Amino acid sequence: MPALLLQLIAESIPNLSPLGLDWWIILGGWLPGSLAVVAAFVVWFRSRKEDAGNE
Amino acid sequence: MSDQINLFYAAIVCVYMVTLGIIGWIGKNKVKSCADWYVGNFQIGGVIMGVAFFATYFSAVLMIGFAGNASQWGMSATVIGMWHAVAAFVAFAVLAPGLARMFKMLNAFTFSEFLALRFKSQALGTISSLITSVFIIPYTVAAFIAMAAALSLLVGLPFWLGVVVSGTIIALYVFSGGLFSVTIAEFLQGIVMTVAVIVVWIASYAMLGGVISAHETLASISTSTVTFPAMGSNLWATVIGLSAVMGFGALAQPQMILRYSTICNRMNLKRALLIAVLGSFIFPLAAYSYGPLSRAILLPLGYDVMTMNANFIIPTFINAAFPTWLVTLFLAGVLCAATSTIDSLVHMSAGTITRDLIRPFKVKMSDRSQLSLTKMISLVVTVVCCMFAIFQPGLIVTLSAYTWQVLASSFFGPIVGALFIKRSNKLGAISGMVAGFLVSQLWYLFLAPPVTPIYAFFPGVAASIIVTLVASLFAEPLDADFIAKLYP
Repeated sequence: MPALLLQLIAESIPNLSPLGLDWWIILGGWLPGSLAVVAAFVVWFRSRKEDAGNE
Repeated sequence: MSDQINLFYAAIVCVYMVTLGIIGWIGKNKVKSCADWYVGNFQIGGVIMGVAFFATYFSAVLMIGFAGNASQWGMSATVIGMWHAVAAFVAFAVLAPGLARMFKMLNAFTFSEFLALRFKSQALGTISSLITSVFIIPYTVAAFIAMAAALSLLVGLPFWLGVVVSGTIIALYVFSGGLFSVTIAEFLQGIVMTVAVIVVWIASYAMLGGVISAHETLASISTSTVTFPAMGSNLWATVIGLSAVMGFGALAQPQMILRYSTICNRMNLKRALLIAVLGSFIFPLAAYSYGPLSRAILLPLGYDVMTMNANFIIPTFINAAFPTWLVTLFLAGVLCAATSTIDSLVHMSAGTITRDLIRPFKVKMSDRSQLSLTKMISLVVTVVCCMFAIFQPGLIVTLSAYTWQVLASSFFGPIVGALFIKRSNKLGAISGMVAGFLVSQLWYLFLAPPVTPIYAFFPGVAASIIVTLVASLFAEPLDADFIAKLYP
């Protein structure tokens, strides 16, 4: 049953993302890289707010 | 026409060299003590240090060598680049706060000195500085070779003269201004090299009709250019291995540690975090993207990248596909990328040799004489590296090939122990360093790809961390007062 489910999922999702690249490239590289950038913005923005509050 | 272009390029190189000379002069006025030369007296701001971090991180090898390989590997190479941003985030968000605090508290000026003071072991400092010196010098030589090759291409200088010119100017500004000059120079270099790769990246997509159209063109050449390699294949091992080595391996490189441990305060650390992560995201993404895109652009021009030497693909691509102004901008970027890596390596090597290898054996050494000695050694290091770059002995080339893996394997355990394990001690740190070094060496010699798909980095780092933790249990912890000060 799980094997059948996985097969159904694999057949229903195309290999290529809307960007024209394999989903593994997007999920294995572009997503973690983008998350690091978002996290850096969050850390920087929060520290700015904290510093503004302390002044 | 060719002579005119060479003269034009020579003028640009002259302006660049004069700018570096001025930066050296500015730095000279700021350097009054060893603390100024080694760590900028812990006063360097976040924006400058953030740019200096990724300018040191990415060299001409990425812009030309790895990008050339990526043209043969396909867009899966962008995965390698994306993990650089994750590593930069870990460096500044996880490691930097603790390292910056401890560096200041211990008044450590080099990475080896930090280890010696944190674990109260001069032997640890000496062994780590020996490993650093032996492996960083070949890496510096490799960077000199890349820079001289770029100069020869740009101005038509003989290779040896390219080495001498670049060596002279780098020696002068590192000698004069230490970390002040190095980081200001890297700030400017980082901006130029980033603009260069971004413009080439955007122009490549534009030539192929946009992002999706470009990927469709690549897929029409071969579907492997837009898909991830099959698990267990050689390319799969390369992508996974390089993602880890070039990403997380950077965290334990002494020259990189010096970038994120010497920032002046918390707010500047957050600024540096943002800029370093952004730079570490966009720069490798651009380089690892224009590499594969060059395949689709070069094919109609009669070049098949799959039959070319990877090191010549990007120079051929830039020359064949772009106008003169863009060729000039790209070569200026290559020059900046090479210089920004070399200056940090010379600065770090000179500091390590003086402070960790010579000073412990000289009973009396004033701050002033130590500063003079360090500056002299920075000149000696540059001269030695230039000589090696001109004559290129085989051993040097071999050693530089796995510098990152060896340094990361040796130092990961002691860094993790120093920052996060209060119980870690001298025995653990020395054992972890030696175990990581030996395991990575043996793996590299006997089990590295293609024998197995696993890079020496993985077993080396694992051995370093595990042995540091386990061996620390077999010796007394450091005294409680000292530990309490380190972990407030």
